[in-house]
Amino acid sequence: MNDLTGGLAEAGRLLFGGNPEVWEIVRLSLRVSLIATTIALFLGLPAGATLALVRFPGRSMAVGAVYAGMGLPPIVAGLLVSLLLWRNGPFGAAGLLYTPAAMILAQALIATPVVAGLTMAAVSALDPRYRLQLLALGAGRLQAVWWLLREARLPLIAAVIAGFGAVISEVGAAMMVGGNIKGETRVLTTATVLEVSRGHFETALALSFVLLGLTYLVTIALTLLQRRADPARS
Amino acid sequence: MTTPVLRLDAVVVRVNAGSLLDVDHLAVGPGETLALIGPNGAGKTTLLHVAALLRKPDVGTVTILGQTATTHNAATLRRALSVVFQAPLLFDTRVLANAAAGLRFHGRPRIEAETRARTWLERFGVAHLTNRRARTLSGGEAARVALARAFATEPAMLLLDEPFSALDGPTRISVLPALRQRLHETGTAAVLVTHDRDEAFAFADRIAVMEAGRVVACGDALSLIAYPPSHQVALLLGIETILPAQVVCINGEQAVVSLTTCGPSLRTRTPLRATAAPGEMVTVTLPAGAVYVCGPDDVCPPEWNVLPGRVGAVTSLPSGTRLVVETPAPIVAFAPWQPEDRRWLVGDPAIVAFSPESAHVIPERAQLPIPYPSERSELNSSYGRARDGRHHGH
Repeated sequence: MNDLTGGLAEAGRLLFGGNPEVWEIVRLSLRVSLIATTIALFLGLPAGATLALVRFPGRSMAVGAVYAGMGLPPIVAGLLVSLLLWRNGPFGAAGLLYTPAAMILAQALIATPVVAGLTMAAVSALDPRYRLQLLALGAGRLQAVWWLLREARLPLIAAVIAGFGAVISEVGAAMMVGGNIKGETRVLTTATVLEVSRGHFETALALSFVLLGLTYLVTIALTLLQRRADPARS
Repeated sequence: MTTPVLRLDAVVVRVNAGSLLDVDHLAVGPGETLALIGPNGAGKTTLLHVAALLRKPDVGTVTILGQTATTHNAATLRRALSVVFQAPLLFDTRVLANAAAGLRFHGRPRIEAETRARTWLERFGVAHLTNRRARTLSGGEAARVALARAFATEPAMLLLDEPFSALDGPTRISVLPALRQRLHETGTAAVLVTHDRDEAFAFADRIAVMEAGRVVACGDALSLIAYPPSHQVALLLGIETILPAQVVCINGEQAVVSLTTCGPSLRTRTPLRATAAPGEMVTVTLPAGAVYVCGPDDVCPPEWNVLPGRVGAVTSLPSGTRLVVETPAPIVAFAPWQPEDRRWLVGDPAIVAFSPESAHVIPERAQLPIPYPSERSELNSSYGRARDGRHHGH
């Protein structure tokens, strides 16, 4: 109990005690996770919609890959990106390893299957007759897809929340490809791990509280968006 | 001759080994209304999807307003049509946006689309719902909005797939006349799929009866009831008195047949297009409304068929009385309410009387499946077709 209250107090001190380092970590955490989620959205949404609506050869294999990807252990994603970006690896020349860009890449790799899988489920769950109705009303292919995604907007926002949740809380890949370099690639999760290993439990707890608060705020924002989109409320 | 709005020629839709749909020819003229009736799995919905260019037939052509549909022009031709499905399928947005959706898809500017949508919402009596979310509407309101949405694009033809099946009786009774009136005012052709015979008769100029993927009869309601082309069709149209008989003799227009179950001879006057010869087995159909039931002492016109018997069952319906009279063969009669009607009781002696014109003779040959040219008949083993149809019809 002492640890918990101490942690809260420490969190307050860290955030509002004029310590720029913590704010830096928070900023980087948010930036990396939001960019990764956005990339996942741009890739996963069309991929999921396509898998739900288009029948093509190899579709079931693609669906299997997406589902496997949803359960992809972050550490494996981290390893994959490390291997690609390693100095002697195929993209080593870019010198991206141990930069926020590498972390964004790894986290997008984790979140994209989550967004794609949930999008696929959301669009598949729509009454298939909506598609016929759209075509019957004279909608073009893209118009039809757009209207179908609008029909599924509530579960789609849930997909975004799930994708964001997967990356903001992720530690293994961030550690592996970012390296937890102070002032460069240190994020809330990796900083917490470090503080625990140093025995600074109060600081670790404080960072955890900050992480929790951050996740809560972003989720709240998305939930508010979802509620605005909910027809039952207007 | 005017160009039909819709024409199907030699259309076949196959599923596995059988065919779901096999229609030689069907046409709907401008402003004409056609009802498709038939049992579940008869291929009604499939036919509607083919007509709506939502499903490409494996064989045959669909022609919309004189233009043959192809993969390339289907999207354009579809704009001449509107489809209303079994459920209203409103989109999760405001009623006005729903009603305007078709016009927006056709590329009309928002203001014009919404103005026209508003007009149609008004015509279907749901203008007050314009700003409501579509998902908050009742079944009847949603059905009206779906109809307004379908009319808003001012199509040449409306395709309706049991749009009222989910509505309760009174709501249905209020929506159907509104629909008919709008169709009439705008001169829009329509095809209505329904398994409700009364709805079909109330709605359509012509009725097409489907079974196992085929159109087995097509004509105006009265001539179908008076002259059903086969036993099957008579059953599907709800004719209850269908009796086996044998031809005794034919005198010009008039044929005398004897009922095989019991023997009395009946005079019938059927334009025996498919002529039957004396001795041949036939089926006699008798619409309930053409049968009069009177007391044993009443006098009937001399030419009429008169069969004595007893009342076997009495059912009072909102529109009249349905009687089953046990003459040598059971005969069903229906009489509309009259204020001075006598009340029939089960067991009352009664006389059944009907004119020769009302008894229709179907030659036995008409019962056989229509012979069909070469390769298709093999695919269409009727058993497989019926089974497949049942799975995919709805």
